Amino acid sequence: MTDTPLLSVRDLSVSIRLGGGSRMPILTDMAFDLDAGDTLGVVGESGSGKSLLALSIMGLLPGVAEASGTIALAGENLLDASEERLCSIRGDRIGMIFQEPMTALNPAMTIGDQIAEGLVWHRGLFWRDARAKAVDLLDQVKMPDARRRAGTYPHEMSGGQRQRVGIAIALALKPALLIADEPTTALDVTVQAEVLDILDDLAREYGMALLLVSHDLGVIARMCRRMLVMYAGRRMEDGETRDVLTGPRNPYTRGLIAAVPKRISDGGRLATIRGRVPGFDQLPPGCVFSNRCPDVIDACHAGEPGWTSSADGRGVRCIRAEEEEKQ
Amino acid sequence: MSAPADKTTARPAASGPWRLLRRPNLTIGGAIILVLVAIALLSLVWTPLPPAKMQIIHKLKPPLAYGLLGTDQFGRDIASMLMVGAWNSLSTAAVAVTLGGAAGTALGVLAAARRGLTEAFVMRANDVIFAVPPILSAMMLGAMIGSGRFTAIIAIAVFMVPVFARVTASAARQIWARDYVLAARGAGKGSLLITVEHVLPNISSQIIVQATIQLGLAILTEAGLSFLGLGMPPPAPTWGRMLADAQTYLATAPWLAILPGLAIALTVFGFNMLGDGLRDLLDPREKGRMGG
Amino acid sequence: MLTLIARRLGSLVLTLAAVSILIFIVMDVLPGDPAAIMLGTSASPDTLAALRRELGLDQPLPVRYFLWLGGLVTGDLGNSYTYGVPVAGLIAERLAVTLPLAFMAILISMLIAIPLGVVSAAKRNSGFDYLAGVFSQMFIAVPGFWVALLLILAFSISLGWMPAGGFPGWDAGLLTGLKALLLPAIALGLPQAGVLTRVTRSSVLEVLHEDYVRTARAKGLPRRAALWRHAVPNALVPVITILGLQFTFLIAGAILIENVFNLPGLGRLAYQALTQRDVIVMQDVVLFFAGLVIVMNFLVDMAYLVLDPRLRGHGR
Repeated sequence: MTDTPLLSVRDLSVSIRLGGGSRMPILTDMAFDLDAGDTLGVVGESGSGKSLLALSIMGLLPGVAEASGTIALAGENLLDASEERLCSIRGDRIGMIFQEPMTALNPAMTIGDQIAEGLVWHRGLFWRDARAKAVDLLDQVKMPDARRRAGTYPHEMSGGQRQRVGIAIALALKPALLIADEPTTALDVTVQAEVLDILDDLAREYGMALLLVSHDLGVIARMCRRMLVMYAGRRMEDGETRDVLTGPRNPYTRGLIAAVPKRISDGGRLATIRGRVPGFDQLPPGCVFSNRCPDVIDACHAGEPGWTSSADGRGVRCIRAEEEEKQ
Repeated sequence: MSAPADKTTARPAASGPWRLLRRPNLTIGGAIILVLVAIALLSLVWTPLPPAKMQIIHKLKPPLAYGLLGTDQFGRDIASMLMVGAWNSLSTAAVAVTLGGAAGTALGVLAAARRGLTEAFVMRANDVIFAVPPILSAMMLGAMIGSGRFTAIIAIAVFMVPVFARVTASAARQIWARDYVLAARGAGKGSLLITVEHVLPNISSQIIVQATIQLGLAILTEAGLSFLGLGMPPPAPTWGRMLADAQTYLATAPWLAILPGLAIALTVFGFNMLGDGLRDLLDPREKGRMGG
Repeated sequence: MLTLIARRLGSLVLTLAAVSILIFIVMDVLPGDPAAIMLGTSASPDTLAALRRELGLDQPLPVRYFLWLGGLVTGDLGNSYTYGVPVAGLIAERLAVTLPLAFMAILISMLIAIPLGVVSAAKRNSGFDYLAGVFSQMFIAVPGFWVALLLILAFSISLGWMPAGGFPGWDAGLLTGLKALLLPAIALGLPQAGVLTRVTRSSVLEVLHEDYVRTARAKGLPRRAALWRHAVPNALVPVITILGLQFTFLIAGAILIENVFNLPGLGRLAYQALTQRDVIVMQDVVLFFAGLVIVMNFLVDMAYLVLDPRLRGHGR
């Protein structure tokens, strides 16, 4: 591990421009570091803004979104970079895998060509050589009969196979950072395990850093050394996965963990967090979780708590957690 | 560390007539058609000069030299001819579209209601009729029973049938798949009743939009027929025939060719804009429409 | 996939047959004696009867139809009464003008429409988009034969660059022939361009939001490359379909344009057959045009199979 992290995010805020000139903030005060070769899982429910986080690192935010802060890739702030510079970084230094394999591939292009395109574009390979490399990559993602498959079209494949093609595309140029946005959410459970295995093996083999976004704690636990919990566009807690899962400090994290169905035979009700995830225009005053938190006190409504980092490499946004820390 | 999310501020909604400014298609199209219809109706009771009146002594005068828009090779007043031509074009197109539209809609909802063989037959019949453009069928009819307004109306109306049948059939099919229709069928309601009560009202906006656009196309077709001499016979002035006559005098009297064509283009443009505007108004789910 | 093609082919034949029956019946059912029409009302009953026998008009309807059909298959479409030559030959001769004209028109319309439509979609709601929208609406609204007159006014009469009409024949040289067809092709293609621009624009707009365009950009492709290499090929499929559907209107336009420019094509033949009351030619030409449209739609279906691999029938 080098001293400077590969990816360093500070004070990242993303807001959406609405019709009429007003702006709705989505991401607020996002910050984290990711070292080269390390793994970070971003956990959050739908509506937490986690996909927007992934897109903002790639510079693929929709036109109505505005970002401020710093997203530093090996020291270079991507938010200041020109579109041209971003194009040379995308694919080459950062690769991305998306959630929906059924629609992420061009139906009119063979999968071999779609994998090879990055190589032709960034490395200037001839198509013949690039296609050969594509077959190679298909082998690496454990696609059976790779040579023949390279000439087939996406609609001839299952979701799991298409997602493997997606991985091959993202890895083709051996990027330093791989962002995976809910890579297995749309897949059957049995296929999920396979795809995660492939992802894990290849990331290790290439020494890539992995930023994995998911709502599934199980996936995060399996793949990521560190984790970050998001809610309503804010970070609520972070730290090493093992530590966070065994000793969560933020009540939201505790709620998430408790909500995972376990094989307990007492026939009791499933644990849930009462209430619903608020829309970004309906956030409660004070702490954004205050209207659903089981440990809420009056001070929680007064103002949003700041982020506190502790010496053991953990951070949390919660005044109750801060109190406990002091004890 | 940060304040609660700002409430989003909304602009007060535009009310009343100002809403029209937000829909340029509707406004422009509607205005053009309104003016056109007014002129056409006006021509029934008044024109600057009798359109058939030939004043050879004043032939081929440019606009404003004699009469607002000049005179043709027989000294007839172009403005008057255009006005009556408007009425002729509009009335022919309206009758044709109404006839063809009604028949086509009936066929379309029938096909959607019955499915199976009926539907296949209707769709095949559509393909067959659609293969023969109205110009051609008018020529064929003309060869047998003579050309004229009646032939033109029949030819155009027949072509309208598959156009409307296709649109209404696909729209009706979607209504038939809806839950409340399935419920009605389950309750034993007959197809005819369902068609009248549920299907027709729900597709009426699409029919209206289609009819508006087809009116424009019908006028174009009628002009083409008149151009070839297959429309209303002389002395009735038609925009198409005015253009045909103008070709000989293209070098000496270009306004003879420019003006009637402009009238046609403006009219069709108006109907297209109106149709687009109506479509935006009645079915706002349409994405990516041009110009609005 | 072969079954798919076979089925479409079968459909084609069925529709063609239906059209031929329809035309035949229409010409038969309509009041009017073809012999009397061709010879005029002053002809003697004997001459009329003789002509009727010659044309086979005294046979029952189904027999006449099959005789005609048989003739079609063997290439004998009867003789033109006015020209006295086999109709088949006439049609072939005239096709040599109409087909190149039609293809030139399609080419011109696509050359205008596709760039205009794609860029409009890429720059949605910009000034360019709005202008392009206005232009395409104008193209749709103008009558082709009026554009023809205006073009003659501008380029033949005022500037003297192009001939005002007539066709020198392909023997006079390829370039000369093409030059004679240029203004007509523009007049024919412009209304098409209007329709195609709108279709292209809405098709590209839909495709731009597809996930695979985002995947392309995540690979590092700049916006323009993602647009032209990924979005546009997929967007063209509906455009090609519309092109096929528009063929009917192309034919109608060709008839009018050929008359304006005095081109010896199939459209002008139809018109001449009308004025000369040559019923045989009229019937054959109408069928031929209808057949062209149907075949064209079939070809479009085939093109669909080529462009969209999903339709080839061996997906999951």
